[in-house]
Amino acid sequence: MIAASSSPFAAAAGAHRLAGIEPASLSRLGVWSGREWQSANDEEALKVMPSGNEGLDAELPGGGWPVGGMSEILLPGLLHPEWSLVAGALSRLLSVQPLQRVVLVAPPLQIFTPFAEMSGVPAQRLCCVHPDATGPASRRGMPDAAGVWVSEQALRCRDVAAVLAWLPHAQSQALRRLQLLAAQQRQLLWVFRPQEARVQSSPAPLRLWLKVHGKSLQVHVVKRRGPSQAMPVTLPLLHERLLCELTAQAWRKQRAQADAQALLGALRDPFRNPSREVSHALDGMAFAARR
Amino acid sequence: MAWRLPLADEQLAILPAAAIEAHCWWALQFTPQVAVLDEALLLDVHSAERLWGGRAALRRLLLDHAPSAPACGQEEIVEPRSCWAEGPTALQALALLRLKQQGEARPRQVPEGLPISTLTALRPHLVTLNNLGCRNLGDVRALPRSGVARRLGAQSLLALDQLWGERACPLSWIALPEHFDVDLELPYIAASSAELLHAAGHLLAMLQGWLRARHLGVLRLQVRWRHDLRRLDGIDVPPWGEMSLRTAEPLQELSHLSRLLGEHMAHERLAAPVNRIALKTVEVQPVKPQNDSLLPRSPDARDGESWSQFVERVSARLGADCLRVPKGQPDHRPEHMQVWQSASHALHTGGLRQAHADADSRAALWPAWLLPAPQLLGMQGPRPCLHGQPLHLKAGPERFESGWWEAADAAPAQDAMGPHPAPGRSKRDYFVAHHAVAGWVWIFRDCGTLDWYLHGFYG
Repeated sequence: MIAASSSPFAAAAGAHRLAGIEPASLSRLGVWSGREWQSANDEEALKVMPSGNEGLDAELPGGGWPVGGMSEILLPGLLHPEWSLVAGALSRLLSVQPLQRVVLVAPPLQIFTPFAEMSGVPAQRLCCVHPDATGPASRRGMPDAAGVWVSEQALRCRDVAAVLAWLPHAQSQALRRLQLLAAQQRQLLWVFRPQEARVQSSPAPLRLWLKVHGKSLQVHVVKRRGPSQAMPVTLPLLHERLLCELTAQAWRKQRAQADAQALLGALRDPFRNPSREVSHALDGMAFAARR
Repeated sequence: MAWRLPLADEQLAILPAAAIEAHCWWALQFTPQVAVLDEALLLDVHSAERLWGGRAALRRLLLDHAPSAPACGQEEIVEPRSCWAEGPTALQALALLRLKQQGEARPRQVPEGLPISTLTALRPHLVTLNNLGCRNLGDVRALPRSGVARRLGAQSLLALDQLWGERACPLSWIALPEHFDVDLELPYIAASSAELLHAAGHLLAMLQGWLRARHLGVLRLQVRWRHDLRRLDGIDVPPWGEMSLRTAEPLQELSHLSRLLGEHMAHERLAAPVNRIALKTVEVQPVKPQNDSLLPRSPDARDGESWSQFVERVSARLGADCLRVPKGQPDHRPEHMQVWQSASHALHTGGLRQAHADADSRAALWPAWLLPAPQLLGMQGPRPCLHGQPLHLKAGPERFESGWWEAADAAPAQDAMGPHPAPGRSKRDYFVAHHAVAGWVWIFRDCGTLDWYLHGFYG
């Protein structure tokens, strides 16, 4: 039994000796194979915030949004699926850190607070900053300069738990500064950019590209510390309660249509179904009552 | 036991005593007994030195905290090593400092070996004493006391006794004024706010000394500057320009305040060149110094500025209306469910409320994003359309009726911002719709006009 258990170990040791490197020195060098990025990151004690969705967590290095790194989210055209992506992490973050806030820099639309409350994010702890897009800096040919400045200040603030910044025109230099600051201050930072920015290089260690298909949201990992992604992750785009509502409405509509079809069929062809009397004028009302 | 630093500016002798004392406030954080004697600042550290961990540690601290250059100085930068001296009595320390300033070596025997000119009381009699053959203070003291008293006056004898420490040396210790209100004549005419800011830095350093000594934090501060010209380009210029700064938390560390002042000054345009600047505290509050933790800092603890500082800085640069915090309102109409408050206003009215209202059960049909104002949709036959493509209604209707009471309290609240729909009664049917390009949207039909509007986005 001893021989049986020790033999694979001996074989493994032999293999490493063949390569001329001791196994211990391998791990000390931080060498890790391509498929093992999660454990490799665990050793570096990468702090992450779970996203609230298991499928997405499995694809994110370390199992969640990186705390201390910029996550760049590439948004499709006119759609606004940001909230369904980050709400899980935000509600978790704000419940863990009861005195901290979340800063939203230049959000394209207003947050609707009842919805935020429903997804577990206390709305009064969100703070929206609307820097003037036509400020002096942007007129000098530095678009989003004010937004970048506000994001930097927010990252430096100790009472801010996460920063969400919409910086469609920010330059790569500014993004690099933000990434460095997020790493230095160990903050959560999401930067939302249009999908046209996908072809530009980015200093963000994590880049996701969102696509919307009907009621679901597909997340493509463009860049991450680890192997490339095999399959996009599918997330629900709409809140589950709205999905229930939509299904119920669709079902009601379908049933009403089916009933109407049946009624129409019965009206057109009274002799095919002899049990139903249609000669009476009130028959339609009785049908409606039964429904 | 006196330790001292020179005021280092001989021209300041013409200033009133209060102005000179203002330059010495920084020293009050180390010992309560600080006095100005002739051209030097005297600190009695006898009682305080144990608190600071010994003489050497205190000396290091004082050297670190001493203001480097005098506010109105045009002379060369003084080497910090040469601007202090210490001795067992106040007058000895002063004499040693004068020696150091003249670049002479310390005599082997102190105080006997000190030159006569280092004692102020003996300076008028320098020639007489020289003729008598006295070269240093030891020689003067060796003279018969009655003769010295008769020829040089009792004052000289008293000063000698005080120097030797045989008699007490009453000094007038500096007492802080109740209110900080200091103005500074600028050594140059400041034409831009950046130059003014430089001068304000010195006043802020003074303020910090005052605050530290009084254990206060500043809440409101008034900065005023006097214009050099009465008229500029035919336009009357007010004699003083002013600005007030407000902070949410009482501040003692002035790095934040000086940054805030910088942001405000960047917006300010001086009406005319400025020759004088004044700083005045309007509101102060006692602060409790923060205790250091006995335990090691947790790795999660971050250092950085606090929330109020963030809000104030961003508001100072971008304007207070740029920072908005939503506040839930008990109202059933979508636009009124939240009001946007400016964050600085929220800061002054109250902090975070922990409890929040339970989520509304009807919120299932509501979107995540709201348009600032409803957007009128085009029509394609009976269907509303967006960007030329029809919208498919998927759920609804949900009816919202706005109230007759709107007209009565049409005036919006002071702190409320954002859109206020026209007062009056309206009735809306809201639908969840799907659009091929824009995804899931929230639209409504006004039951009065039968127009369709886009009001929100899902996701």
